[in-house]
Amino acid sequence: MSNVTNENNINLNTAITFEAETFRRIQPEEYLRRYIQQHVRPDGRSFNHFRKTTVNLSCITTADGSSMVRIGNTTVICGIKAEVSEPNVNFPKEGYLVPNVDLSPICSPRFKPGPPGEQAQVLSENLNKLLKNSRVIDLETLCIEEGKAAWVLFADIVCVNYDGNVFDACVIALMSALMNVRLPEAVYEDGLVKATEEKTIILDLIRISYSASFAMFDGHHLLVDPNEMEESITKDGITVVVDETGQLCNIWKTGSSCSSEQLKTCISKARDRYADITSIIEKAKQAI
Amino acid sequence: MATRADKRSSSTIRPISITTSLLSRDGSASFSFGNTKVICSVNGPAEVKLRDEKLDKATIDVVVRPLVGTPGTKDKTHEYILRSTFEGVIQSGLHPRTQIQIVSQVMMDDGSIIAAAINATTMALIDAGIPMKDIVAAISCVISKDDQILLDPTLQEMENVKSFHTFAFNKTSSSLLFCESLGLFTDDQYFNCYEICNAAASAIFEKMREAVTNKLQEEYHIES
Repeated sequence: MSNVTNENNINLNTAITFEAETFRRIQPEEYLRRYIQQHVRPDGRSFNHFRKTTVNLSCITTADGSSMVRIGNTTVICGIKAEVSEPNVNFPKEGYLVPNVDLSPICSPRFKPGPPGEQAQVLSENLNKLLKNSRVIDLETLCIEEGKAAWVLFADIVCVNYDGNVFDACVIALMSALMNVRLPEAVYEDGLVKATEEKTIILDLIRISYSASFAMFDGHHLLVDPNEMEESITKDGITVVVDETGQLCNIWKTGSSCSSEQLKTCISKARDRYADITSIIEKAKQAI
Repeated sequence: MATRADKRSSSTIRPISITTSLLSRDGSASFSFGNTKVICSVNGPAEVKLRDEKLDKATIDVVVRPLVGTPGTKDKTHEYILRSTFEGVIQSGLHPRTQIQIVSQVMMDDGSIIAAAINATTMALIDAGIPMKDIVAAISCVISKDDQILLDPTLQEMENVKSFHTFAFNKTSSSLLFCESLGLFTDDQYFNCYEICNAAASAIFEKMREAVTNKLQEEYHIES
């Protein structure tokens, strides 16, 4: 009899403590808060630590320019395919650059097959706005013959593994793929465009901009480069895009309130991050 | 000070007009900056689709409809902006397992459309009596080619600018809820825009307050 009561006692004691994994699943927010209180993040990083970033250039041989970017476990591949098309009647001297982000079910179970979901559309739209408004590329250089033929660059970005901060990965992938583009030299003759593969041209980029994203937890803890778990809990995101001169190209902030001091910290961190990405890409260029 | 095409000074907002309860929904409002006009309707808390049900809070569903054509990526982005801005403001924990639907219809786009949509949504939510922690006001500005900050730009003024900014602030702490800045700008320019828009947001809050007061006075026949 005494044995039975003893066993019951043990059961009671073990019922209060449980595995960290269980805690994470039932109280994800509180789980993250406990880590943040200890000034560390669940994956062992400090608040200011970006995940390891690697860039691989020319990884798709059939594309005109391509790159693969990994930020921690987040992996995106960008392939740029050039086609010839007629320019827009309103802008007869300009070509096109069309970014498109694909978040397929392969990268995370939260994306469903079928037409692009909201997040993919928002990413594509934001990339498009960034390219257009901060003039990354002079579209007139894509013109082959005024009003007749121009290059269309389809930049397809596919997320292979989703672990948060996809926008940063997309921007790095897009920029490095654009740097990697080799267009055949094309001439317009009697309604036909003739392209010679022997002579290729490198795209002339006006500016190269990279982004840095942050998540805000509990209104005052700024976490750089959030992973999927941190992103889904915090819901507050700040993205800052800067160019090589340190000029700002884009600031995008959603979610709950933040102060201008926090924005200033984000901007200065984005500039530090820019230097890191530049050196990573320089290394990648040498590796080809 | 150089005046603009519509003879405003650089820091004047176009005439604001707010109408509430204009549709037979739980709450509705229209908000306009001059020619830019957005109508917003709010339904809820209502029954939620099983797929979207959240156990601890209300699901906030946002639909943005353009004036012509079918919704595209731009409208999806606007939906995302509205949802992320208002998710933190609406006290969704008070109505678990329900849905609050926000439908925003663009009536006329003459610049600063996101700002108008955010303001219309705030008014419609107030009209619907949805419990909120705070109210939100948004305003846009551009930095023109000659480095002038123009508040509340028209569509014409938004062309050929150095940068375009939209800010949304809350009322109690006047801190930033949403920000979208595009183009090329320096830190100083950005924070100048921030300050100017923050000041303009308080003017919008005043207009919102006026609209609510007028409506209540009419409803309860109070002589002011």
